[in-house]
This record gives sequence, C-alpha cells and structure tokens, in this order.
Amino acid sequence: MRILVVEDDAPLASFLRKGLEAEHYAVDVASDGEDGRWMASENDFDLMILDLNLPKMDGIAVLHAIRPNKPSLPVLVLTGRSRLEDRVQSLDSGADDCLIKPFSYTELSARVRALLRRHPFTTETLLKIADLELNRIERTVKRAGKRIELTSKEFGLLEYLLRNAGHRITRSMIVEHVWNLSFDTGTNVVDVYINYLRNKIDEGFTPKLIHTVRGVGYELRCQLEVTA
Amino acid sequence: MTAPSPSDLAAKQTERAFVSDLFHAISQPLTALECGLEVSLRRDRTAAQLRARVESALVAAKLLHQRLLEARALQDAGEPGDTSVPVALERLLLQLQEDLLPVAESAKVNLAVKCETAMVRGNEARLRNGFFYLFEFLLRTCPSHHMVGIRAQRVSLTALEVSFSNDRPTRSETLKSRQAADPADLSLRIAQRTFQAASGDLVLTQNQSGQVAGYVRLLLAN
Repeated sequence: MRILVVEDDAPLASFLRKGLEAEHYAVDVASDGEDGRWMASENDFDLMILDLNLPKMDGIAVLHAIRPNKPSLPVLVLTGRSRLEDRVQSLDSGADDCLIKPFSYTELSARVRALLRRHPFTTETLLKIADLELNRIERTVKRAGKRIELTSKEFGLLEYLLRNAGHRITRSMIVEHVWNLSFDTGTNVVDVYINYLRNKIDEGFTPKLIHTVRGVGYELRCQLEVTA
Repeated sequence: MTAPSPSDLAAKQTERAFVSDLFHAISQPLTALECGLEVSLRRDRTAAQLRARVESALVAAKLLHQRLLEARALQDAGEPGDTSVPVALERLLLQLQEDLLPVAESAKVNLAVKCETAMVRGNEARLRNGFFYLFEFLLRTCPSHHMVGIRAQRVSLTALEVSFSNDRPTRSETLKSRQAADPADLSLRIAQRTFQAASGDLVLTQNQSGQVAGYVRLLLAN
C-alpha cells in the first residue's frame, strides 16, 4: 500500500512517515500544496493524508484539483482548524475523513486502515464475515442462515464493523460514523450497543466475531478459538 | 464611537468565560508535562527512570489532548448552524428515545417521552446532538429503577418547553444515584450551549436527594 503525506510541518511529516513505514506502508511526502497536487495526479497512491493549511496551494484547493481525475482516491484530511464548518467544508470538498490536530497516532492509524479497507466495497450489497451476512438493500442480517432482528442503530453499527472487519476501530470512530456526533464525552452508549449487538450476533454461535481491543476499541474478526 | 450593544457585551462575556475555562482546563496537565520533562533533564537518569518519566509525560499529553477536544466540542455547540428549516421536534425526540433505549435498559431506567406535534426553530443536527447529550446525562445520573420523564408542550404562542425529571420512582425504596448530577458535567454543558445557540435555554435544578429536574425552552417556528 502506498500513501502520500502532504504536510508542511517537517517534524509532523517525519513522525507520520516513520509511523506508517513501521506499519509496512510505502510513504511519500510532499511539503507544499503544489507538490502534493502534482504527486497525487501523476502517481497511483492508495491513500492521501492531506494537511489543509499548506504553502503555495491550500488543502481544499488540492482536493478540488485532484478529485476530477482521482475520484476514488481515499483522502484523510488533517486540520488544526477547529470550527465545525471547516470540517464540513473539507468533507464537502471531497475528503473521506477528517482528523483534527492534535491527534494520537493510534487514532490516525485506525482511520487509515478504515479508509483503505472501506473503499474497495462501498457499493457492495452483501457484507460478510464467516457465517454472518448483512444485506444493505434488504436491511437484513443472518447468522448461520438464521435471521437476526436489529434496530436501525444496531444495523448501522454492524454495517460499520463489517466495513472495517479485521481492523481495530476506536470508540470515537464509532461515535462519529454511527452516531454522527463530533465528540465522545465518555458516554457508555457505544459499549452498551456493542453488548447488545454481541448478544444478538455472537450469543449461541461460534466463533465469536466481536472482540474488545483494550485501550483502543473493538474489532470484528473471525478467529477460531483453540480449546486446551 | 457607539457603545457596544447588549448582545455584543453578552458575546464578549461568553467568549471571556470560554477562554477562562479553557485556560483553567489545560493549565494543570500542561504544567505537569512541562515540569516533569524539566526535572528529568536536570540530572542523569537510568533508562528505566527516563522511561517512567516519558510514560507520565504521555499521560499528561493525553489529558491535555482530551481537554482540547472538550473545548472544541463546547465551541462547536455554541454555533447555531443553518436554522432556515424548521425542526419537527416530536420525530426527533421519539427517534432519540428509540436510539437510547438500550442505554436506558442497561441502566435499569425507564425512559418515557411525550411530545406535542410542533415545529421549532433551530438546526436539526445541532438540536439532535443537544438532546442526545441531555438524555445521556439524565440516564447516567438517574438512580436505577427510576424513570426519566420527558414532556414537550407549548407554553405560549411563541415557545415550547421540554421538561424533564427523574423524580418519579417506580419502586418505593430510596436508591442512590449511580453518579451524582454535576452541573459542570460536560454533556450537560454541551447541551446547554447547543440550546442557547438556538435562542433557547436549558435550566436544571437538583434537590438535596439528588433528584434532577428542569426544562429546555425552544422557540416555535412560525
């Protein structure tokens, strides 16, 4: 996987390069908007991490310039601008996700994985893992052929977990993408919903699919349990 | 030179209070971070000591990060957003009730919502956020086996009140709240700023036994 980082802050760009390379991504760095636009247009990247506040050409202008030719390139925007309108503007301009500075590397890494995972099958009707199936059009869920009734929020949560199956997702990602809230106040809403979903999806079935990742959040994965 | 209008003065007062709160919130973790790093540089330390110092600096940095996120959430809540489309309050509250039902069940609290059919002024997404944080606060601070009651009704030709309380026990015994209702609770402050930004208000009262009641006042759409 090849990632383009467009960031003019040298220490941050260096830290991103080191972190991503440690996760086995190939990383290229552009230090201004014009270079970023040129590199994104001339090369095939799997993802772009784009700072909004850039010299020569700002991030929004870069997005506008590359989107006509690169409609499916996942773009994660980094911004220090805290107003809600700024974040909305970047998403409206073609960004796929937006992360506000300061951020933790764990959060950035999780979002990168989610974007890389999400894009190949955003239009698929049927999402599957092991014997669990979710049909986005019929709004149905089955496990081992047995129909499972979910509320609309539970369905939304399961769909988000399935889109990111095999990857860790943080509570704040769930709060943002499923609840459409900008901030997790420490509410237990996500944990309560995960427990409800577990009872419906995993109770009485093997293997268990919803796993808690301590200190991070949750992961949907198919892992056969080994009994001694 | 003209004197500032009352709304300008109120805006300045709000801004001053916001900056003061922000300063207060970040000064403690920032001080811990700075002092910790300074002290660690003053003399040679073992690798284990340095590691412990870095770990404690990371904890302080994470706390600082959290405070900044809280400040941003409060700032966002103070923005009214696009208010040109009236909001169907009944649909909004009933949807939230359904969404928060699992949270109420896990807390062993009954969440009851009654609402007149009414259109109110405000931005739907912002009002939904405001009520989400308010309901979440009420459920979190309500004693188990009690009921959070929400009732929305017109109180004049121009205004509607959403009253709430958790003072109707469904079991006779007195049960302690799972968590004290703190008026400085972040969820509550976000809700309060959201409703104020929509030209409304949120008023909360709490009696000595910890029971919470209050109302949200919103303007009706014409």
